[in-house]
Amino acid sequence: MKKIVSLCLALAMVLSIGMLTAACAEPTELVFWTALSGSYNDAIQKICEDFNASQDQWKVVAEYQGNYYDIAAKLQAALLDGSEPDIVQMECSRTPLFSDYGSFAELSDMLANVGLDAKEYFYEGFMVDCDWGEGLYALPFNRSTPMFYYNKTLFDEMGLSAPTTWDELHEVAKKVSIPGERWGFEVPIDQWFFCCFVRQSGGELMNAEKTELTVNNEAGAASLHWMREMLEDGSMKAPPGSEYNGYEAARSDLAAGITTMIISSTGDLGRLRDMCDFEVGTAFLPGNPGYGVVTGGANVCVLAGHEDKEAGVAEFLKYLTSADVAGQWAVTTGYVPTSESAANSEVYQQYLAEIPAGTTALQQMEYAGNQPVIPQWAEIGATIITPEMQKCVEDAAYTPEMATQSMHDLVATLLGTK
Amino acid sequence: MTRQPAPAAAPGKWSTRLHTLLGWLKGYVLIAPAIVLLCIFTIYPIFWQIHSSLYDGSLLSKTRNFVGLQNFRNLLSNPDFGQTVGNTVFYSVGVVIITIILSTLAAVWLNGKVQQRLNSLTLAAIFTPHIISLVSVTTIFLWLLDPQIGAINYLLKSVGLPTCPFLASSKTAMFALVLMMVWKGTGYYTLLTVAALQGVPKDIYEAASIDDTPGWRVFFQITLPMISPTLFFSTIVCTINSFQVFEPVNLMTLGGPANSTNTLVFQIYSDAFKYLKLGQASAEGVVLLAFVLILTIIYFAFLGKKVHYQ
Repeated sequence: MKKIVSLCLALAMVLSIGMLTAACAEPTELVFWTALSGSYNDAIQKICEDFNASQDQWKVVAEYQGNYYDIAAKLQAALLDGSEPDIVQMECSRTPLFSDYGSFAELSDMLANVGLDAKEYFYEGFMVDCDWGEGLYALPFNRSTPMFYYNKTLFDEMGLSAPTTWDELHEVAKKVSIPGERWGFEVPIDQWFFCCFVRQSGGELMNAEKTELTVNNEAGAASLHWMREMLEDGSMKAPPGSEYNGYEAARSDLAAGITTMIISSTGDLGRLRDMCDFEVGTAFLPGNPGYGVVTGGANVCVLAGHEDKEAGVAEFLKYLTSADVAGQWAVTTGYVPTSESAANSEVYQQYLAEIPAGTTALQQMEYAGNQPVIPQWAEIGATIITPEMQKCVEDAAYTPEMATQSMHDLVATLLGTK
Repeated sequence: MTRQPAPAAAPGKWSTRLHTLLGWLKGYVLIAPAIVLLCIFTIYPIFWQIHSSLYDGSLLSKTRNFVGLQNFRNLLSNPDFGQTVGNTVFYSVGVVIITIILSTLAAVWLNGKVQQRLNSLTLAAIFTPHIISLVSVTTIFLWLLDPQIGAINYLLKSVGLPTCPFLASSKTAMFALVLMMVWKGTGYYTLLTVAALQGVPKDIYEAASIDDTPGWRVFFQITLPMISPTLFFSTIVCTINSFQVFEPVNLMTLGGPANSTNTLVFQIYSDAFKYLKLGQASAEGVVLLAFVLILTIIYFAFLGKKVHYQ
């Protein structure tokens, strides 16, 4: 009898210890790979800390993995040995590439469980590369368009205002340039801006079937002619570098007074306001003559096959995109608010009232379109459009017509439609 | 290992037979670790790569389709790939020729009898770039080579010479990479060559000096042949390393501007990992393998005959 009692007691003890450990169990870890460094990474860390403090079931760990190019390469390697994260920040043109391989989870069901209807909640313009007709594979996170930045302090002194067309920009650039010392205008020679320039000139990047790059025409060549003229008369500087080096060079040149006007992402406003000791002005990208930009930036995607963590991931995504969190994120960085709720949040409205330069990003969305949503777009941009642009602005013998025709032909070869 | 022909042992002499067998086995056991590693990490991947170059898809694909020689046909029809191969050849030829000539001259000079203490100090100084991590070197050179604020252009300007855009222009970017890698590699090959020079028997030089042989003849007819095995080795190693150049491209130019510094290995990396095109990348790998193989065979067949082994 005694034996049985002691056995029961022992069993009860073991069970209670088991339950105790279950109750104080460590929260389940959710790994979130990010692609933004510096103060933007700090902002992401802060969001995760706040989320972790708000509940005790889940713990999000954000890990910076390098720029948009690096994070895609690392994700592929991680998928092979099963060390992939639960959530990843993925540049929008690369989202279809991975979801094509079934690497990303379809999100509608898990988000419905936490009461988030993405189609209703987010701006329609940002949803095109999250849900392109095959299901919801991403949520907009740090979305941007290119924006025009200028040294407002200097412009006010010289009685100049921000140009609204390419020709005006050229005139203003000539006025502020000092040979060998200061260049009026600087823009990274990058495919993203080329996409905008084509749109401004009234062209389309691809045909409706997405089988042909339709830039071998006047609208495609216009921006290359314009940049070559400006480079020739010394009113424009083309920053060196590939991937995002050129962006960095343009930003630091603006801050250092080497240039007075640049085109960069809306998501650089936060950085530029920190870097520049003068007032940074913003404006729409000058038109030719129409305004036009294409969206960029990154989405957040969830890795497939992590069903056990789905509930936590959904909770976090809902938190990340909630009005106040997304509003504060847009204020810190300059990225465009991804939803009307975020744009209407108190923190964002207060920011708009205080920082006039901040208003441009949201207003310009009226003229925004999308990069073509095909798995090959990232490759087309980086290996065909950008190098052809670089060749054209550098080599006088390589005319804009030759460059745009070559872009068209190379894309046809790549897509196998030639 | 030495394999002795098994002597026809008389029946019954088991101990002799066992001894022979053990001797035979010992050789294989001793080379086994090296051979196994070589098979796993070199031989097997080569065959896997050739196999992979005939398929489409990426590392993430669940099934990959057989496409025959399509990947190679794509390479041939892409003018950018031709440029990439050209860049790689330009880089390799530039680095190998400049490095080997510079390091040989430096070695002969540093091996001289006068001011030996200063010479060893100089040798240490030119060897230092070899031990600095390449990441640090590229960071420093990115500053030095900056077209606007770089120290090199500042110096050029201050003595009234025209400045150079270096990495910012597609015409000079590859040249700048070659210069940097020559600066980094020369010390290592100089050290190898100095060691070879010190192994040359002194009596040959004494004989030459008794005959009053002019300096240039001593150099071309005694020094060069005597150190030719080392130069041969240096040339092959330097060529293979140059063909595989990746780090400076990835760290400094990312293949730009306008594809002018894109090299084979960087292209392989981009295709396989950035754009998820494994078949294409494998085909490029096969091309690289063929290049290095052909070059090595040429070196052994032609240059090898000129090498004087003592």
